Amino acid sequence: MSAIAARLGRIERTGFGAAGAAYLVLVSLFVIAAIASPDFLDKQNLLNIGRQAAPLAIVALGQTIVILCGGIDVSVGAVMSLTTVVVSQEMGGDPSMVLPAVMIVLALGAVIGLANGVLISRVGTDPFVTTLAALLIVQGAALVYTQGTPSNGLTPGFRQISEGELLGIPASIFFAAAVFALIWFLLGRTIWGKSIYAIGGNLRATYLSGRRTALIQTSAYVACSLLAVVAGLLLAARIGTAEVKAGSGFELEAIAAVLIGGTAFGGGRGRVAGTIAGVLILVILFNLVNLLSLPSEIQLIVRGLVIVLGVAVYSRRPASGS
Amino acid sequence: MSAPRSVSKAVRLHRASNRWLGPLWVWAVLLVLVIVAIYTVPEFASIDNAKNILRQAVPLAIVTIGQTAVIVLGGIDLSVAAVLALGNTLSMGLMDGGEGSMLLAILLPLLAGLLVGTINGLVVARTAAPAFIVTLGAASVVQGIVFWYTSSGPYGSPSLSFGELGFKEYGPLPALVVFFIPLLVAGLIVQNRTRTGRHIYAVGDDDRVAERAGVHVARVKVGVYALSGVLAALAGIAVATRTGSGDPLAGVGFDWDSVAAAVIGGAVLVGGRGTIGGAMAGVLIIAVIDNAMTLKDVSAFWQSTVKGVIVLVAVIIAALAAKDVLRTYLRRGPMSNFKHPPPAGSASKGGAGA
Repeated sequence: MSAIAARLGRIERTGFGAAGAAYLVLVSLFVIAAIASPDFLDKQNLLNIGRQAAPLAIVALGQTIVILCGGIDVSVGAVMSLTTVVVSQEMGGDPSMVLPAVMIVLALGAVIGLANGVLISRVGTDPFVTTLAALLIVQGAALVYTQGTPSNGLTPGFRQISEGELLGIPASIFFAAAVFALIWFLLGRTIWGKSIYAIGGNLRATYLSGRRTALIQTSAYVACSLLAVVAGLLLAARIGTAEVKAGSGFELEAIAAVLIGGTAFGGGRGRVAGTIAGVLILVILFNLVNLLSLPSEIQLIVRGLVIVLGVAVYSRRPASGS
Repeated sequence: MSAPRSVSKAVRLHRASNRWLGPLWVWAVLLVLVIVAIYTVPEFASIDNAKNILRQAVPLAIVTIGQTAVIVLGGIDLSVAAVLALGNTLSMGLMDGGEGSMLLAILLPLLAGLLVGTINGLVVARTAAPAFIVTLGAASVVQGIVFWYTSSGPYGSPSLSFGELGFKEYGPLPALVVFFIPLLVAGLIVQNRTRTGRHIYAVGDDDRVAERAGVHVARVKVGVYALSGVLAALAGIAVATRTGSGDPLAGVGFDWDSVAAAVIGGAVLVGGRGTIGGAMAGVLIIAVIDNAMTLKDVSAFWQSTVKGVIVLVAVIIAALAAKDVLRTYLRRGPMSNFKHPPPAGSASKGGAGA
């Protein structure tokens, strides 16, 4: 008995329990979806799910880093929107401008993340309000930049990063997989990753044990914004047009995916694999609503219900003492 | 233990003004803004425009009273925009130009707001789900219901006497403002002079301690979210006095604006701090800026950015004030705040958890 309890305790400590639970839900959801809709298991539909999940997965992975170190970033959706309009305008339909345009949005993302991170870690501002201010500013910047009507200059070559196929699988899935592997390695196998968990567990103890906490926190926000930019690039490539509101709502879905995946709000515990499960749970549910061809109002209602219920059932309290 | 009455008169006056008015620097900022607007925007300085600003500020002020209570509690309510739209369209749909169903058209929307707020409160109080996710999810659900109810178009219309309310004046004040004043006074009294008010601060400061001190934490949380829902629906009805019909998008912007107003007014998202008085200064700051920018013909595209900058400035000032950073920085260097870390769970932890 006690051996089992100890084992369960270890599972709980490593955070595998919650991520495992998310995978259990994912598998049962998959089975239910296959039964409920005959089109679900269609190869094209499954690839579609992957294509839809890719941007959300990437932005949720970035969000995981920030939540693990005890923060939150609600500006990611606005950063994604800004990315789509800026990359499209800077590209202007010219294939030789693809790389410079991508560099420009990555630099913008880095600046936004840096501003968030420095304010939160050095000045000590509240992460939610700080990134909310960033959301308002970035959203306004996208509107001012485009004067409300974004130009559409995405080249066909650029669109290949989402629509191109390798072995019959969309390129965006490879991008998401690569980002997942990178974040998994960074969080699980490097000192930087351990420090992120440590800061989320106890900021002061981490500082006192000699880690440069402010620097690491800042790097988390920069990474999160950069990944939001990458997600925005994939999103632009997928939908093929620039939109001022393209990314709005992604912050909610990304945070929900992270929490459903078993990462504790408040930091310190969680795994990137759980986040992927959370993303797939959300995307499959949205896909199911689509397949059952429910009207868009019902889709909004279902989206809200899924997020509230998922987060309410799966949220864990942060590590003890906070 | 020193007796509280040994506190000097000046200190007591300062505390009282903080409780009833909020931080004085926020009112100073409002004053500076008004002066700048008077000198840079020619049409700004007129009695009619002042009335206009007040009239337009009332719906946001109503929502912000509820939002401030929720934030003081350590939570956040991002469903207010959708609930406002629900109150607005439901009220106009029930009224539909007729005088007969007036009472029903006001009571039912308030009940709907109460229901949404209560559900928010129950989920937040009973699970570990962060408040902003719960209320954003609720916003999605409620907005979906509003779109479904109105078929995404203008819906219903106010009765004649109700429509006049938006433009009527009692003495020098617009009718909406006159109706709002008792609500504000009630809010201030609850905040400062009742046990419930103290309980909200206690729960926001540390809900475990509050629980042990005998506060019924879950009940307080549910009550405050319910209040926020009712007030949002009421604001929807107030918005309807100025428009010819119900609008499924009537709430757009009220969620972030109300949070911004509360934060500008000195509320802190981890809870325990914030006042209705300060939040009202925040509402007026937002209203004055919106008004001046519209009069000055500044593109609406800039308004989001300007609000973001104001929120940013407010949160930086709040952080500096909380840590007394300037003084300690000069004495000890940049990381000195770790000498006196904030209590567990605050400052660098994400707010809006309760």
